[in-house]
Amino acid sequence: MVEATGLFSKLWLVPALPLAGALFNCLLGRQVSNFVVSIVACGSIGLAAALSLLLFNSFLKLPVEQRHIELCMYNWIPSGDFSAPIDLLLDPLSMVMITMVSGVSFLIHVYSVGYMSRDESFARYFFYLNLFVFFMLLLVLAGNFLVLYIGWEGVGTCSYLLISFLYHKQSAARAGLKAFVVTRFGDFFFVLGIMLVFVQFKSIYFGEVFPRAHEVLTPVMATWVALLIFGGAVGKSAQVPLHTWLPDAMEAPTPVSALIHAATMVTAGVYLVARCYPIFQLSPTAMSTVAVIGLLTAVISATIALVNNDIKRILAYSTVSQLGHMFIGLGVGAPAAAIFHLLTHAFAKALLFLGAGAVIHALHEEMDIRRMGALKGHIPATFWTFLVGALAMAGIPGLAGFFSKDAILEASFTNGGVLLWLIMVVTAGFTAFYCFRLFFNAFLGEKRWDPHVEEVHHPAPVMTIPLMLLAVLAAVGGYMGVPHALGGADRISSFLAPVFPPAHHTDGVSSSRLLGIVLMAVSSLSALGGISLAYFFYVMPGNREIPERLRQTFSGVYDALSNGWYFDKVYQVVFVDRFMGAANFFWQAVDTSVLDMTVRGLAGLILGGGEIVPRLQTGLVRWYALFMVAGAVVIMGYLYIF
Amino acid sequence: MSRGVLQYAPTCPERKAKEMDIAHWPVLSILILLPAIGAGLIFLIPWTEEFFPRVLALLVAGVNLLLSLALFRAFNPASGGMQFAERRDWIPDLGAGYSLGVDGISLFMVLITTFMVFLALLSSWGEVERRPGLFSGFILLMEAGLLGIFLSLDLLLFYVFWEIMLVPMYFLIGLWGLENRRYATIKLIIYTMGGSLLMLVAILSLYFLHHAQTGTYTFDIVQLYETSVPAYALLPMGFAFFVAFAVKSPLVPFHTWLPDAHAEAPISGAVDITGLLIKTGAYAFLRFFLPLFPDFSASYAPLVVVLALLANLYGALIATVQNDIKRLIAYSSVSHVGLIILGIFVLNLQGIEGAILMMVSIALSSGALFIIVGMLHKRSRTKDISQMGGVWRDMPLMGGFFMFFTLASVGIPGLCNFVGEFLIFLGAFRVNVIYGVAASFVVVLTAAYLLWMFWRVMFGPAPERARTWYDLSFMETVTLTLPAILVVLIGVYPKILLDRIEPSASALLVRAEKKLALNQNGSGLAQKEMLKKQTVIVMSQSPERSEGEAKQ
Amino acid sequence: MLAADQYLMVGVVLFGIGVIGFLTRRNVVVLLMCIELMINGAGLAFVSFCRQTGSLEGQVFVLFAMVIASVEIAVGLSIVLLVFRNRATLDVDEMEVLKW
Repeated sequence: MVEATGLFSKLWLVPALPLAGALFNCLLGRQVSNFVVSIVACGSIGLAAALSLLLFNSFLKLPVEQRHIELCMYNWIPSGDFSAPIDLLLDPLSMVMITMVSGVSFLIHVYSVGYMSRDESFARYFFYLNLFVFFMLLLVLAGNFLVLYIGWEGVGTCSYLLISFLYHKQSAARAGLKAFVVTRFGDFFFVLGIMLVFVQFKSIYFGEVFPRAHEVLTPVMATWVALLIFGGAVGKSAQVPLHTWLPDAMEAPTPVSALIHAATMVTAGVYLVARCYPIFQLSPTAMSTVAVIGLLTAVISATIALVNNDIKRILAYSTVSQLGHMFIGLGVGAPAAAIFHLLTHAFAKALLFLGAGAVIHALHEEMDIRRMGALKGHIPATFWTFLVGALAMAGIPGLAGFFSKDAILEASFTNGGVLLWLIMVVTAGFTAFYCFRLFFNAFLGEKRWDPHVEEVHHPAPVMTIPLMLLAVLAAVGGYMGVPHALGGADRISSFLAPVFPPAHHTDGVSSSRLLGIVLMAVSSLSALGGISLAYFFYVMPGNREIPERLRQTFSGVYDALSNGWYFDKVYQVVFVDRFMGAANFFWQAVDTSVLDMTVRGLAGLILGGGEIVPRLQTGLVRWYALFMVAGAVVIMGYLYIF
Repeated sequence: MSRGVLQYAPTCPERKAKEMDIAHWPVLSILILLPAIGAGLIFLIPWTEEFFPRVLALLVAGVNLLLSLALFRAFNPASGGMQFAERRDWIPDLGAGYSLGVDGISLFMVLITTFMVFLALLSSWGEVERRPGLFSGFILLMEAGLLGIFLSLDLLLFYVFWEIMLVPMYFLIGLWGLENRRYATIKLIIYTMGGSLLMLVAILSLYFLHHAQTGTYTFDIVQLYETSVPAYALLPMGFAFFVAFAVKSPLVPFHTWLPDAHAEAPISGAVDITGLLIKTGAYAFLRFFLPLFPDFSASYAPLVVVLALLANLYGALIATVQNDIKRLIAYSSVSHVGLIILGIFVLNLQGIEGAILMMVSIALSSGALFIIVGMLHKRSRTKDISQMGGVWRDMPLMGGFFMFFTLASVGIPGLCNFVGEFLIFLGAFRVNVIYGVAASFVVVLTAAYLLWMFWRVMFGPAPERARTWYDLSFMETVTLTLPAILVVLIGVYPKILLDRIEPSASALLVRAEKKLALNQNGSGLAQKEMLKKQTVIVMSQSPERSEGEAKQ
Repeated sequence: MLAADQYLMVGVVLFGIGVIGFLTRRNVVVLLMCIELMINGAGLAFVSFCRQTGSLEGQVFVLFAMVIASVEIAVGLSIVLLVFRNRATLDVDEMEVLKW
């Protein structure tokens, strides 16, 4: 543990700058012009990104064993033996994360300036967005579990606010609520996990928990802790069975989907598991759970993406699927590969979303890929950058997604078995297919636009430049982790190695170079197959009715897929309706009936008594006299007897 | 009359209160008397203009707020005992004293009371149409009663303040309420009177019991702490106190007066005060119930905890299906109160500190929500959620504040409720994993019903008549900004509170443990063991704590 | 002392006659007379106890009681007179408006 000195003592500025921007836009955003708002918003994030790069530079100069810097701000919650300070931790993992988060955020902020330029809530949008970046940076910089949780809930809140941003749309409000509640359900487990960690370790510092994990935790307890923490990750990273909120979250403005629901927030779960990797390693059960959940998610959402027609939802399901891949990577013992995939995916998916935003923008808020087509000539910059993103996503050799995905595939093959690997290869084919189904439908073929679209909106330079920058990143981002099999140095793995205990991790150590190359070739072939199929269906003339016929033939499967495997419907019936039923029952039958009636009954009893007892007071004087005499007799009798 | 520091917790070494100016005044008496005198002036002088009594009330409340802030500054955070204690004979023949004192637990109750009363007067400025002067008078009377409850160290005095509170409450709801106000008022009175009469009986039995054991008649709480309650009397006496406090808290199933009282009180300010009223119940549990009946608390803690958890869940469930926005928030209070009681009865430091923080936080966040609902009501003339919707379009500023306080109630870290909630969860989790699980689960439901409410009120298409709903005025913005600042302050830097609460809370636990040790012959040994264990944690914390401090 | 017992007996009898008369008769004036009988019965008992114990307090009480009795009769009769003027009856059972 190294105390922060020099440049590193300014680490707190990284999250503080976006926070300052957010506060400015919150308090003064309505008073100043949109131009000032965007300068403040982008400027603060830009400064944070620049600072992250500077930090990265100094960080690389540090000897490896000193790459663990803590910066304690103040003691946040001290209570008895419990104490949770606000402290920041800079290690290789958080270093790459803050660089990615601040960089991608900056590009998306710039893009948003163009995308949101006509929105009347411009300042509010940038307030939320800046606040989000603050919380995200806090999340990845956290030095203990509770600070991480601040960021964790904070990003969730900002996500809620941004999904419900178009407040007049009921669907947006609904999606926001759903996103918040579903992820909160995951957070419930996470909080329990934090408390369990505290009870076990008497501390919630990463620096004290992880090194001692193997001494303190029994295997059973390690499983519990790991699974509870993983519960939080499942909610936040939209894994099965809590994935249903993410497709709905596409109600948010498209840059938000790019930033929050593709590049950063949803990957927080992956980050969390990677961060807690020393605990997960202690429990094979937890590890295989992570892998199985990841696999299920990857397959289920990839299949749903095959048939969806909403441009953003396809990308959303694709995100879910790729997050599943990252969890498989974590589960099979390749955390560095998972983080690598997280980074490349962030670039590629942010690019795809922003490109989709440009498409939607061009066609006047059209989201249905069946009513697109032939956009290639109209918005060429978007076309080319989108192509790069789609290729990277599909895992075509040479682009970013290829290297990271193959790192995971290789680890799955070595540690997880052939079956796992095979399923993943097929899923890779799916990925390539749906990416290019989207791409071909949107950009190639004939015009199928909505008749009212007369003129295409051309994206402003402020939108296309971030696209190009991201395209460059998506193209070359993979070269930070060229595997040993291809003669590379796999620098990302060795950079991250200090975070993950060396004894168990098997990143990039494939059994033989030949095997590595064969595996890569197979998965590349699968991806190429997916692309060719999409080309065959949607570009080659006269084949468009083939998928239509397939749809009719397998209508049962199609319905299941287009309804997202009925998760939403089942949840509605099993949880929401039941819950509302129970709530109504308790209100009507218990609260207003039993409890209130008891009180009213008591009051009625007293009132009734008040009706009866006064009847004794007849107004007849002699009646009273009789009572007096009787009373006197009773008293005297009492005195006489006792 | 002796002022200065009373030796309350023998284990915590006392230091003299900082030599500040106000240490030489009977500052606690002034705190109570000032609003009482203000109310008296308002009632007795035949004001010709409604303006003057309102200004007077605001002035008095403001001075009281400043005074309590001075008290906060002069408060010695290291001490777990009573500070600024005052003691005079009141009815010497009965052994009843006029005895006041403040410790880390009551300090924040006092602060939040003076603050919320000031806020209530501010927020009701333009809202009360009929006799606003009189209204302010009752609010001041309420403040006097509340402060009396939080400051008195004598059971009889406490009882008197406890009952005085009902008078202004009765008039506030009865005179200024909505359609169903008579029902609500009478329900409130019956409920609380029923509870307090039980408590009076129990107070008297304690009084005579103490006499039988020591030969002196006294209502002084410090001396009564030492009374050992025999096993046969424990259940009825503990039960009587418990019911009295549970009604006021209110704990399910004694809660049904609260939604009515909240829903029928029309003025946001009055509702606010009701919010404070219910904190007296939880406070009384801490100040009187735990130290007086540690045996009862320890043996029946599991039962109470289960009841509290049920209340927590039950309030959340019922809040979900409410269509009346005030009732919804009232039921959310019921749910939160369950959490507070849970924190108190898990009998460890985190739970109790969390409970106190939570009381403060709820007063702030729910209070602000009620003020907002009042502002909304002023414009829309309805409490029915289905009549609202899309309000954000015409009132974005209010929407922002509404969102903010809703999120605070949901328990977003960085805002005040989270800290208390988390500490309570942690306290519960340490005692029994199931408690922790159940309590934290309700947070999911809390998020669901509060945000659903927010959606139904604020999002979606706006009704046509909403066009006339103007956004917040300057005065209203100020009224909401004040609690908003505190919500963030407490959420980001709760250490201000925790540092001062901790000595008192641990003193409380130590005292309870000592008394338990004295009554070794009683029942419930297992629970005692549990309580002891907690206390050991409390006592052994100091070295680790300073380590934590050194870390910075 | 035999004499005291006899005085006491007379007092008790007087009181008893008063009670029975009060309970059985309906004319207000008769009721007032019965009250008078009871007061005097009680007075007699006081005096006889007084004589038995040789103290004076009893006699003081009796004097008080006689004064009060005469005042009571004066007030009572005037009320009766007013009632009679208003309601033209002396039957107590018809004077029952002062009930719940």
